[in-house]
Amino acid sequence: MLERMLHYGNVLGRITPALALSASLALPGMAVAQEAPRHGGKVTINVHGEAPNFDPLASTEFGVHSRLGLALNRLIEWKTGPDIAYGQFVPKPALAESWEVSEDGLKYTFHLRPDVVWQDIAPVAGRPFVAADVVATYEAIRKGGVQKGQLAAVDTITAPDDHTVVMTMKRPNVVLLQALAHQNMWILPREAFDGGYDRNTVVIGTGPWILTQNEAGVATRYVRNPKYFGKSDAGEQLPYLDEVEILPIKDLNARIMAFRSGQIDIWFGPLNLTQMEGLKQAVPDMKDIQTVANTQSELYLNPTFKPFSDLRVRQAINLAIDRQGLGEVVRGGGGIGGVVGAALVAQTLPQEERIALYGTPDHEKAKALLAEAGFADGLTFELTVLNYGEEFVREAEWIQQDLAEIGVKAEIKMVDMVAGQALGKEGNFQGMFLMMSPFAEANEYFTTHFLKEGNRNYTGIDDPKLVEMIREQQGIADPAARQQKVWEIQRYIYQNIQNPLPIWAAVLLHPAQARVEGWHPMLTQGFPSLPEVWVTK
Amino acid sequence: MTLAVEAAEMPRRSSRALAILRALLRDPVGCSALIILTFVLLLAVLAPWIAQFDPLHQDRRAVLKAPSLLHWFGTDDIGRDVFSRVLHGTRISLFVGLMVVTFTMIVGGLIGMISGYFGGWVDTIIQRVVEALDTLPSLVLSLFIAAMLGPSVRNVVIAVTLAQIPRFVRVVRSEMLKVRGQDFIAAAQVIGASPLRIMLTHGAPNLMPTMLVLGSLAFGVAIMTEAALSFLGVGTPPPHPSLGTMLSHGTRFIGTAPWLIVFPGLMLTISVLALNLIGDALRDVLDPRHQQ
Repeated sequence: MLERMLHYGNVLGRITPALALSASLALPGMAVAQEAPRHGGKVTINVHGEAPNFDPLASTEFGVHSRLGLALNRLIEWKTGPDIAYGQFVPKPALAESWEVSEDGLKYTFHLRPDVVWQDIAPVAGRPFVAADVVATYEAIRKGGVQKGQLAAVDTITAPDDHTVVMTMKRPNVVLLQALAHQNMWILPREAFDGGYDRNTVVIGTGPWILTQNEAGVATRYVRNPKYFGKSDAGEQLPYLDEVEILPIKDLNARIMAFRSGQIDIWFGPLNLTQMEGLKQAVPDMKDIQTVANTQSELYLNPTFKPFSDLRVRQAINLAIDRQGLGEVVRGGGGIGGVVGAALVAQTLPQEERIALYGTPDHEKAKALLAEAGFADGLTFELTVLNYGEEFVREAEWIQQDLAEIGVKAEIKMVDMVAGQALGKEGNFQGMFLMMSPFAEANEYFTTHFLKEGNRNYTGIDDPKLVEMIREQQGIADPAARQQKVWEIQRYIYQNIQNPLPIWAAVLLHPAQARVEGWHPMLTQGFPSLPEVWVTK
Repeated sequence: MTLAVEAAEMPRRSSRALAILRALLRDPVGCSALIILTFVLLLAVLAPWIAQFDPLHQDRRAVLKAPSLLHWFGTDDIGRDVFSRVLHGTRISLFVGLMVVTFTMIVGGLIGMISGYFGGWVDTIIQRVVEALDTLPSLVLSLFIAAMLGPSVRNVVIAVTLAQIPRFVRVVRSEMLKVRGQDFIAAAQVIGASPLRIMLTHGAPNLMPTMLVLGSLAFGVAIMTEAALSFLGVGTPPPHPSLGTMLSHGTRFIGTAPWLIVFPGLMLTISVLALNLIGDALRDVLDPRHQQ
């Protein structure tokens, strides 16, 4: 139990009293967890978005991929369990049972499971899964899938035999395994790409459940796939659950009522601490699982606005913000931001270092830096704030007061998310406060924020040394050496770029009913821990 | 001659206004509402001097504090004084109400008078446009316009004004139709007065009682709409206090810090109730049928 608490402590970064309380609240469930898992039963999950279609190549919608994950598999999966943090990628064999990487990092050989069959749905009708399915899927993705960026570094994909796939790379890219485990990288039968069936409406996979019914606005229902290949660590056949139901309840209050009444077993989606407290009062024995979000708020300072072109001004603004106070008061928990977000515990800078760099406000030093930069009397700028909800706006108001303390007046301009993102892409802002997309790898943070073509590089950063460092880390195969390089990049960005300023990663809440065991939320879509979930009654 | 007539009308108009005020004060409901509204107005106007704290200042050591001698209405979730925010929020609400009523009376009144005075195809075109706008509930129309324009006090004023204008146009037009048939209008036309002059110097004064009643009711509607738009996130932008925004945010803490919604809610209720009661009393005072 203590280990688990310590584990959570490490995961969450600077754990707050609220989180400590939650960890202790989760402890009573541990006694039950000692029971042997049992087969049977059903759980209901709410997903607050619909699946307009089931084509994984056509959409990045979480509503689609969360549903697909129950019926489909990836080549490599995210390992889950009590010892693995929410944002920690540990590769787990899925359709590939093993793999090898050549010395030069340019050739990956995947050995596929020989015992996998497709679900017994026409026209595939239960035939064996083979390497040609993988090649067909990845080639289709490379040709026009929304996730084709995941395979950008891949040169060729071949199948020397039915159970081997070989991928050669244009350049070394150690994040390939994680790219193949990306939340959108489901493997489909080759018939999905040769006109055999319509992948918009038919779902045929190798996954733990078979999708039996999808009624828009009502429910998506699944039954256990009797031929699923997965086994638990103890060698038991997975999944444990006979049935799963996904309810598309969009209205927050309706979701809360559904959870309170027991209609929902596993909560998926936004929930704040106040609402969580209300749930706990109504369902005292519920499981209160909390993690740090794999997204964070970020403050962009546009260098086309003259004061922000001076590194000292950006440093001053960084020193003005009391992030830890913000996290405790506004968010009630979470983790201090970093160039790489707090949820990626193995890749973000160590917590103490992040606190030193971003969590130690010093207004006197900030004023001195402003004076050095020629702004001793302060400055005024327009802060465009994307409307991500009440708490996010509170963060902006908090920062506004912090900046006022050093003589920087931020005039808040609220815009909706779509308009704000357009302004960001156009570079049409002075300061912009927004919530970052959820990323699962440090490389994603670097390439999107700091490469010239990155879709989050709203401030036009183009630093040759940084680009070189980012390219270099992509080719370092040794995990320890790569971690050092990833840290070095973050320190370089802190010292030389300071843009965008990472602010705070909020706490994510994942309530579940007491009868649900083995549930470990994971940042990737598709509910990877669900096959090992079982119910006590 | 016209100058002499206007000079003679001046004291009559001011004495009529006084008569309306006296009648309003004689009405117990109207009088009470007027006193309450005056009190609210004074609080709003004198907010910078009455409020002990800057409504934007966050006292981070006093987060979610219950009402006390220091913070009369308590503090919010980032330590801002709720009393100060309610006063300044009321100031914004009343400002929005005043602007909406002023612009609505000017624009709606003028269009209504033009429609009623000219009649014919001018009237037909204006009324079809008004009917088209009237098919949408005013809150939905305001929400649509505010969402298009983006959150700001100015845009709230524009959105609520545009949504209120059709009602003014319809009522003023029907009143103008009655006034247009009066002898003094005919007399003014005979002496060669321009339509604009006739509408402004002879039509408008006769429409004023109706517009006053409509205006007082529209004032309340404007305050409520501003609150609703802010509640929905398209009204007064943060960090400026708005009663609607305060209510919206306070709902998150309804179980733990009820003062966050009780005080803004009370202020909103009192202001709108007073305005509606004044509107009712004005109608009673100005409508001969009610006097009987």
